[in-house]
Amino acid sequence: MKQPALLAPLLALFLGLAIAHPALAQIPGLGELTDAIEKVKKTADDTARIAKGASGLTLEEEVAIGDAVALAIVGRYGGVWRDPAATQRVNLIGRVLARYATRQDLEWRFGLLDSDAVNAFSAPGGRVFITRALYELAESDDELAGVLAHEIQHIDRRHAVHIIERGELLGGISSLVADNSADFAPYEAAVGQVAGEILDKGFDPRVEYEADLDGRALAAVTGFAAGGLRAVLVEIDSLAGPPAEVFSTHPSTEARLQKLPQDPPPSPN
Amino acid sequence: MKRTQVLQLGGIVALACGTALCASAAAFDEGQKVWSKHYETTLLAEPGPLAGAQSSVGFAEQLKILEARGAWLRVRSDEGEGWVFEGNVAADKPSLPPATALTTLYAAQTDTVAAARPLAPAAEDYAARHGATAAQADIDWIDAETARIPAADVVAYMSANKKGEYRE
Repeated sequence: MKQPALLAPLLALFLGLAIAHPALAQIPGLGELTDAIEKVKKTADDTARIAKGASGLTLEEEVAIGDAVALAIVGRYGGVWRDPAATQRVNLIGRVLARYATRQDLEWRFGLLDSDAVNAFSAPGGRVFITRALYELAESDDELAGVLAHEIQHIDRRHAVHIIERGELLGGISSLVADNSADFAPYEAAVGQVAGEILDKGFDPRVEYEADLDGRALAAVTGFAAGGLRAVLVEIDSLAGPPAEVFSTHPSTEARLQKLPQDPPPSPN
Repeated sequence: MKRTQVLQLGGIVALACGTALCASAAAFDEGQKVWSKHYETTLLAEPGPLAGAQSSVGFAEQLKILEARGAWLRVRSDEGEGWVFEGNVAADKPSLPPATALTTLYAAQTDTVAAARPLAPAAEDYAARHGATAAQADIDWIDAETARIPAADVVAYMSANKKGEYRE
């Protein structure tokens, strides 16, 4: 059995050279063989990626999907509200909060959506959005921090990423992100799945309540009032003529308020 | 830790949070074990942001709480003892996702060159396929605005508004 053991690496070396060197690939019949080997190699890589699902998407894959989901969010909610002062404010508050998130591998960005709906979204990879109506409703930095901390927790705890990891799309996503595939289907499916969950269906209510409580803790440890999110939800509940859309992708404000501690409202700025 | 070491560490370590494993905030008790969650966490001589450095610990190192004073914890690590702000540690050990080339670039730069990254190439292609050029321009605008806020401004906000390590 020594000969096959020696032959295998030599054959692999030869075929590797053939793939890498065009002149060798000109040998009759070798082109088809190397094509076949390439296909096997790609399938093996994809299979390994699927097997890797237990350990999750890479950061690069998460960011690639999250950026496309961000495009979908912006497209759905009226584009970005290009107010430099307001954008700077949410980024300052958001980045202070993100310093104490667990995920320090992300570049956190915070944007405002030009929409009268009251809502907030997070895309995998570190992009957070709140609507203009919600921004205007939040009366203080504490209240804004409460909303932003909730969205940060969705990303920090990889809630959307887990949706993809539960599926079987990892292999194709990896190939596309690595720029060696023209097959957009798995990537498009993953983006569609996450965007659908975030924009239409919403996360599971248990996930939302968890983000509420974890966001409250994040705001508090950062030094913002623990009752910031609660104050926003109370304010929404007390509106005489509520906006057409209020946290449509979240559980009811009543249910969320029931699960949050009875923190006092924050002082106005 | 030198910057080059941070860069090297960044290549190896991509921080991520397991589902409910990495509490962002918790009330910690004396005697409890916690974990560092940053690439580098400085252990200070006193409980306060302006105190001198005693030592530093890397990512996901176990620390034992010797004393809790407000938002500050005196901890012991293999490298020594010192004070750390409670927001800089996690109640459970952070988990590691697969490292990528992107991680190497980003990990060490998060604080200094925040928001320098453009849309991922795959997302740019997605925008072209879906005719989402307006949305792409909007996100480019956010990225440009965010990039105009240096880390020093974030710290200045914290100091002026008594947030994070500057809490009273």
